[in-house]
Amino acid sequence: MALESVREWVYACVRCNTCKYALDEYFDSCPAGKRFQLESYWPSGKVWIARGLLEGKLQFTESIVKRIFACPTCGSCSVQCELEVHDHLLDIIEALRAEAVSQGFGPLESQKGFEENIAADHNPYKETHAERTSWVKDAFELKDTADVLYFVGCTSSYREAEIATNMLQLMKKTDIDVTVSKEEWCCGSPLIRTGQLKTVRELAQHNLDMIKNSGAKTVVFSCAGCYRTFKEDYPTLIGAEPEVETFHVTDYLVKLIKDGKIKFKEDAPAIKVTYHDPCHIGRHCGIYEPPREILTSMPGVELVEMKRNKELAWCCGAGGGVKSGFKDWALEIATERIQEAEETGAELLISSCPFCKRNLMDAIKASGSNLKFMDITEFVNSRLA
Amino acid sequence: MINEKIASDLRNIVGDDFVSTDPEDLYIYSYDMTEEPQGNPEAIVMPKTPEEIQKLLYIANEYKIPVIPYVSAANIGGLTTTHRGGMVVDLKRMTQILKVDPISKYALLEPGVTFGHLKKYLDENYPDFIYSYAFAPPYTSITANALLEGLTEFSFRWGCMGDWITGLEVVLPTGEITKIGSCATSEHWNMKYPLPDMTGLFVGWQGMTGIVTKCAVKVVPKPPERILYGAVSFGMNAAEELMKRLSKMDLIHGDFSFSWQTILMMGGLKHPLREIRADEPTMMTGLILFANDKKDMKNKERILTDLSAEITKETGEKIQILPASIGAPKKVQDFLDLPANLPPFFEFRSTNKKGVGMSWLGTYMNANNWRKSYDAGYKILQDYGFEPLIFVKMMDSGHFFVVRFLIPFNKAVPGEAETVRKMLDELVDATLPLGAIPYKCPAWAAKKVQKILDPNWLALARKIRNTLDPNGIMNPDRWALLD
Repeated sequence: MALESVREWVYACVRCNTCKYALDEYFDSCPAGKRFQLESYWPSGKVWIARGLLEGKLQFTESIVKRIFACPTCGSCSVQCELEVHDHLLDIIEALRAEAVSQGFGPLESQKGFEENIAADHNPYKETHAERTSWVKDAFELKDTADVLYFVGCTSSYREAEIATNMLQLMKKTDIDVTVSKEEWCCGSPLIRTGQLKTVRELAQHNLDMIKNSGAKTVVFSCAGCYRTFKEDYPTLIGAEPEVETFHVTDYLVKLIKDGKIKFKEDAPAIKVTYHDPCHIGRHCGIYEPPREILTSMPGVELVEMKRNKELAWCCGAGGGVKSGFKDWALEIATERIQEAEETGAELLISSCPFCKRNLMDAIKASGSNLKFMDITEFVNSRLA
Repeated sequence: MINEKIASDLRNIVGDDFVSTDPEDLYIYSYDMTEEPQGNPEAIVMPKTPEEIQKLLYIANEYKIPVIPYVSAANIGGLTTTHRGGMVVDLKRMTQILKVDPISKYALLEPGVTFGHLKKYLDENYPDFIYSYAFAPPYTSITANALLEGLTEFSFRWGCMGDWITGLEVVLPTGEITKIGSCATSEHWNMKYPLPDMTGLFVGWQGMTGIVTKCAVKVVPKPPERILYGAVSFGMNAAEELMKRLSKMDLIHGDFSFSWQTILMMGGLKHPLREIRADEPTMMTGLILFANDKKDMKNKERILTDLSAEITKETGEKIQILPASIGAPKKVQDFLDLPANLPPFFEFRSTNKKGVGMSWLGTYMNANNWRKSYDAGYKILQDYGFEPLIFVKMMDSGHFFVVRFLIPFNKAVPGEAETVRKMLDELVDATLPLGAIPYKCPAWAAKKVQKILDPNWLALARKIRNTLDPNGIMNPDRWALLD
């Protein structure tokens, strides 16, 4: 029983309300609570649902499923909550989802295809596996083996290909010995976030074996979700992580800048930018400063912060299955972020996650904003000397 | 009984998203942080406007459905737990700060506005003003705390939060939307007088006489100088004398005294607390001083220092006075820098088994007997194997006192909630004869209070209640008036 794994913590929430807003800053921090308001949608309510289920006072229903899946698992509650349970809030939410799935009540209808699609072609988008990285390999004439393995991820392979293109262009320009693997499979994040755990161990093991067999000394991720899954989920799921160095691209670019391998154009046009922290590398992995170090080291770039930034950043709304399960609400969350970005006076919004890119771009379009968006890989590549 | 037709009527008023009869919602709203047993409502309704509340109350009257006002359930008295079913009216969506009048010095709030949100609003928009903050998590309702006569950091100077109210808008149990105070005559919400003070029909009634939809509260000018001192007493006689003297002086704006065990707990120690050594203090008193300028503050600090020396000499028990920034551990300072963060309280007994719960017996009482109450409660807590975590505070320049027995407990430990209830029972029995009255009084304690009440008081209270709420729908368990 997945819920058993969090039993120890379900009495550890006193419902003091601190998880609901940004502590000491007093602004909104929980997208689900803000939108749906009922106690059951706030993080503390979800803990109490877990408690009710474990006590046998509640049974899974459609409405419980809606509540436990109505959460982008952004982790902001974990930052606000000051009790010991704060480190376990996301675990409780994900355990609730896994339990719902195991009892046949979840995931949400629109998420049900993930497992089948990934089993068939190793990606959730119903695309063929053969096209996953072959186009990249061909376009960049990549060797079969290299020192650095770029883990592209499903979204950058099939939906946000500019990220993969720019990533490889900039690595090539900086003479990095890089390749991608035809054996790359979905990292499993869409399944883990939606409680569909049946095949994720197999995915994890396959990807770790693939990395080992590639002979690469370093793995770089441009996808925040994949990075989080390798760093945080694989150790829990199968007790292992890559035996080689792993970097999110923001960390990796800082290393290249420090090693003097990246030089930026001195005469690039001046621009004011703001940066959106993806939850998966920010709150989940603690990567806040590297993207800022990159941006502030670029001539002509003025970085201005949004009101909610770093560990207090407002989620883009795409994560935790919200983009697939609650399309309109996902857009609402992203629109709030776009308005916040606009308030800074920046002309360009930058982030470092293909999933954030998709949702924030959708919100820019839907709201008619003049803001431009670029992934950090695209922006860095555009200003290389 | 809320059937599907009634639920549908409720949805027509506030919208589908803001009515729930789903078991998980009823379950969550059936508990609060205390030992109060589960009490299930039949529906949760989240209105946005007074007009929506008015319509909800028309339906409640038609079908005689109990109505329980709710914001965050942090009252520590089981006051939002219903044992008669009905609908919880969750006011969390009503979060507007409607006005701050810097001339007449008040803020007009909807009931969902929390201490944290008002603090932020004043800091950003009216930095020359402050409000007074409760010893509560930051996201609890100002209106609820004011209506429940809670205390705040400046209660020494300005009394309990009910005394800060300068005007109300109330949806009466029968649905009329009524203004109380000067706002009934004009757009100014600054005073209750000289009209008959009808705020008394709503303050302290625990939601039995209507739903307050607007509440005006005093804000006060930020003092040019403000400092927090800690007075550490090495003996209860010294602590008692300090309070007695301060209540006769114009020196402080706020005070709060904690048993030394409470200070150790705030410093991060957990249950079971180590033995207190004979050379350790017995109590620590926080003192908030306001001053017009540095010279004024220096003079007040000198008076305070002289006072401590006098008391030390007279009682033979030392009082040591230090600015909190020097003397108190960081964790204690954080607590004192309100709005308070309270994890050490909540998790005090979350040791071998992870579990939290919070209860108390909070009483307002005469200044004459507070020490006797303190001593009696100290012993009862120890007898039950609970540390004597006790809070004492002078209210309204010492015209009355708060004696509060703090009882963090562990809901994961079977039987602990029941032990807490037994202990509370004894605490009430021991302190009522001393003139203590529980505030935010739970219904079980109200039954004990009724035994010593002037019967005509009770008859009048019931008459008022029946007049305002002929169908007895509003939060019917409160003050045990229906029993």
